[in-house]
Amino acid sequence: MADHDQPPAPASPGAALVQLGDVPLADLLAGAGDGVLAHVLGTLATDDPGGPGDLSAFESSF
Amino acid sequence: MPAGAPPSAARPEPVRPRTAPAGAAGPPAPAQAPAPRVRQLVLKVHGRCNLACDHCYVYRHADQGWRQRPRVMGPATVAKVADRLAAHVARHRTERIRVVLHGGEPLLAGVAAIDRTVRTLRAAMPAGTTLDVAVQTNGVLLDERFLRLFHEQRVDVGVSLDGDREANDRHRRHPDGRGSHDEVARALRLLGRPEHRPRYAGLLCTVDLANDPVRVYDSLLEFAPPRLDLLLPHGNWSHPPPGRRPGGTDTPYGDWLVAVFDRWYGQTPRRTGIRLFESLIALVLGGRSRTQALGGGATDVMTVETDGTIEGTDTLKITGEESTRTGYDVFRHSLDEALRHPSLAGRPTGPAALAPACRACPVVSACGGGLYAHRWRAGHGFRQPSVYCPDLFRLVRHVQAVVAADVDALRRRATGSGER
Repeated sequence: MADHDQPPAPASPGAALVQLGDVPLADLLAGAGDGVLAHVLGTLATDDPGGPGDLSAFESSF
Repeated sequence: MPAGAPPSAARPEPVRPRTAPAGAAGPPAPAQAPAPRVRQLVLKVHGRCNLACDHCYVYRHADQGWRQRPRVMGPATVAKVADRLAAHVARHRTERIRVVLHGGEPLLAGVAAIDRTVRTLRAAMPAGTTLDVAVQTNGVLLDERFLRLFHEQRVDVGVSLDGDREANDRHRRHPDGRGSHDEVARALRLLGRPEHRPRYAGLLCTVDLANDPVRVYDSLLEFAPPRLDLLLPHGNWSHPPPGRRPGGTDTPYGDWLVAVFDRWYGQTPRRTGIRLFESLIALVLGGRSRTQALGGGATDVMTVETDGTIEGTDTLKITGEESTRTGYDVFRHSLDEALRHPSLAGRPTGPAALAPACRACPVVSACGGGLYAHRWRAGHGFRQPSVYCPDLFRLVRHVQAVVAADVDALRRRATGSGER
């Protein structure tokens, strides 16, 4: 991209870079099959935003 | 900085005065923020290792504090850790807490010591708190005796493996130079048996540019891991990772990760979880990260060394001793006191922790500045882009494009506006 192009608007933390749009997540999931994206969409559907999640301390290892 | 360029193309952020000296309380958290708490406690049950991996941050990087500490965490220290942890979860009404038995090599502590440690921790937990326990091992000592214990005590097992024999033994060697792959493979075949598989947490693999990415991924799949963690080798602007030219625009690690991502993402049904990639997909869709390497979330990991010393995220060892030395220990201080230290919850998080160039970056919501330890530059501190900035930028953009195309296809399918 050239220097004189308009820079893209910064996305604040937590902002989606890809919008799911107004289609219900369940409808998207229904056609998603059993691949990686379906799995992640499934976790999004069940994620508790205030919960502890499953952050890894394993990665604290070398 | 050109538009669309990663933030590392900007000049480094000048050093700012520390908000608090090491060992003192950090800046107060914003009034509306939830009280910081420990979600995961990394317990160094043994301070030495039976391997001599040349990429290990514990023994080969700046902080050499392990030399002064006892080899094994003694019963009195474990008991004090249990007391402190119980008080902490009771105060915060924590429903779930995780302890990771770590080292060095934790299995060097032996079956009896690990049994005693887990029993002590479980006995101290207040009613209503679930204690999840995991162990991260190099696998060399993993046998039926340990696995029997891990079933009895409900301990999940993560094993470190860098790929096939050639890839793994490039770094993961015994002190006499022998590779460890064959022993680890034997352990993984044991762990993968149906009777043991419920305790199999996953594999941890450190990326090495000398190893072919797809071959590494395929070789790890042979052990049918429930989950993979791909780690970038630890480094920073002052001690750069192998093959990473600080400030350069090349993306060797980004290219490596993209190759694995494409292989993994293209496999249907999904063969395994890769935490880094699943977190990134979730983040580009507005969800949450499950790795400290992305997303810029608050730190909730605390480390207790074999002598009871409390430290922050273990990976900060690569920046030197001052970054992790809190001056706190479990004998004199509560976990809440220690949390205030700048290497723990007292450190800035979110946008305040980022370099100005990162705050203006179009992918900051997914990258989050990368792993905190990878941002450090001597004389400038942590408010810098990651030393891996161009690689992260490349990976995020690639994943964003792949996910956008697939979400668009799903949306058209769901609304009947596209081909079936």
